[in-house]
Amino acid sequence: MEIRFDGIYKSYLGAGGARVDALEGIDLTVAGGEFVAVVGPSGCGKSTLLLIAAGLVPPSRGQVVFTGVPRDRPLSALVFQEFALFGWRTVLDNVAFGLEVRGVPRGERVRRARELIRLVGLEGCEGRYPHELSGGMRQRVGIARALCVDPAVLLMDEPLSALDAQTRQLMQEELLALWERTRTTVLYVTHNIQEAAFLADRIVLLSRRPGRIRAVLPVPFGRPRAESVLADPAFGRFSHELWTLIRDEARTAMEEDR
Amino acid sequence: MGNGAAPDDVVTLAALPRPAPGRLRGRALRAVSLLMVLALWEAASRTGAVPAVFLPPPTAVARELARMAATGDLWRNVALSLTRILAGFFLGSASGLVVGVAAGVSPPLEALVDPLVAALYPIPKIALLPLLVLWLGIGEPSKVAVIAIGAFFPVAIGSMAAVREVDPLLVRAALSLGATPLQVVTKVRLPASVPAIFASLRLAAGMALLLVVSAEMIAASAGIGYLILYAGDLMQTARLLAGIAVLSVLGLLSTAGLKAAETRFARGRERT
Repeated sequence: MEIRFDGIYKSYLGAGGARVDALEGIDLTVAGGEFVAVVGPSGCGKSTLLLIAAGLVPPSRGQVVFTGVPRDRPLSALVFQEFALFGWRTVLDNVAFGLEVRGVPRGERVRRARELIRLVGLEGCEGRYPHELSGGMRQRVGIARALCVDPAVLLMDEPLSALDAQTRQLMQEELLALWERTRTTVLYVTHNIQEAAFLADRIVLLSRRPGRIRAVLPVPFGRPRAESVLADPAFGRFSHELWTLIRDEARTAMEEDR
Repeated sequence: MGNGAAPDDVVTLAALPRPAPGRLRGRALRAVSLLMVLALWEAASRTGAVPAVFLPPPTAVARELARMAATGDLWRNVALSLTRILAGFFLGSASGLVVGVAAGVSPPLEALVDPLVAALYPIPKIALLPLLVLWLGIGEPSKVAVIAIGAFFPVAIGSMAAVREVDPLLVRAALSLGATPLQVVTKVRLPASVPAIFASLRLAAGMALLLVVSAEMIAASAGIGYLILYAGDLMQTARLLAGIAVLSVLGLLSTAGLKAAETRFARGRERT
């Protein structure tokens, strides 16, 4: 199984009818079972890249090719920064949503949803509603909901960015542990360098708008990886190396946003 | 605490004496406010400060209500008005919901419906009654029709805006999980719109009450609106006020009924 981005260009009409180039010439291959993080400054089109991969936004040019995915397996499922849970549904019914719309019988989808809820550590919360949960718990529901359809690739759009710093740290560790167990193919968008270095196998650095691939770096830490890697001096050096690569871009982004 | 205070000054911030539980106190105050107005009113009539012909005391109104209940007068008129209200409300809000939701999910349909709704909505609906009487006759259909038209607009406009303005992120989430466009409507847009749709139903219920009274005052020979108008003509002020009290109860009941229905529908939803 692999996903190949083939010369993806994306432009859209911005305010005042001016053409905005969001992505320019993205070529990238994600192998099955690989965890790839896309890192870039704000406004580099990294979320657009995920929406294109999800089939929700068509590219202006180029194509995304999935190979080796069984016909009945969903290609992808999204996890959102803002969780995007269905507030009128219980945790169980949120997680089972994807199977429900695909016509999986109730007994079967409940069984599968419970499995996923257990996997993300929310057993006992099946009957609760999203507004009764903390931010970290809500995002676990978001992750379980996406994993429940068993997508060929899990697309995560800044999934931890709406959480407070401590919850975020804990969720990073849980996400890592979860991935070590499932080994799902993941395309993970973030602006957080440490997060990318901690979680991913490879890091794709995007430039400022229009987003172009500036560098693709393999993460030099083995698997299974544990929280202790954060204390490794090599981790600090690697993160710093990434930061030097994007700091000028980040500074420009910050100044343009002002 | 203050400047120059002696070092042995001690300032203590302690717990306040426990106040009465907020809700209980609130309820007591509400009851007091209602009882006070009734007592003042009773006193004003009894002392002759206000002539009883213009404002009979609440006890007289209550007596009149009891008499009307005993003769069956009350139930006959309430039943008639209620039938008109319910028929008009359900016809109007159901069609409003269908049109509103359809237009809310389909931009071309919205382009067709929106200008019509915008042009017709500002018309005070009671102005249509003479026309409806011409078309449908003086009987029940014209009264039900004017109520239905009155209930249609708030629900059509409210539900159209609600389903259209559902958080696009939720739609994206559903599509990403494999929902079809139809499922996006039935499983995301509609349930997400429940609170807004109920708000529009409450407006429609108020409109129905307003219109039933107006219609009965203009073109009816029975019903609460007719009863009030007729009592006024005969200067039966207690009867007139009894009719108004019944309207107040009908209004409260419709609000309570809709609230109960919403609670059933919107279980677990975040209160906003």
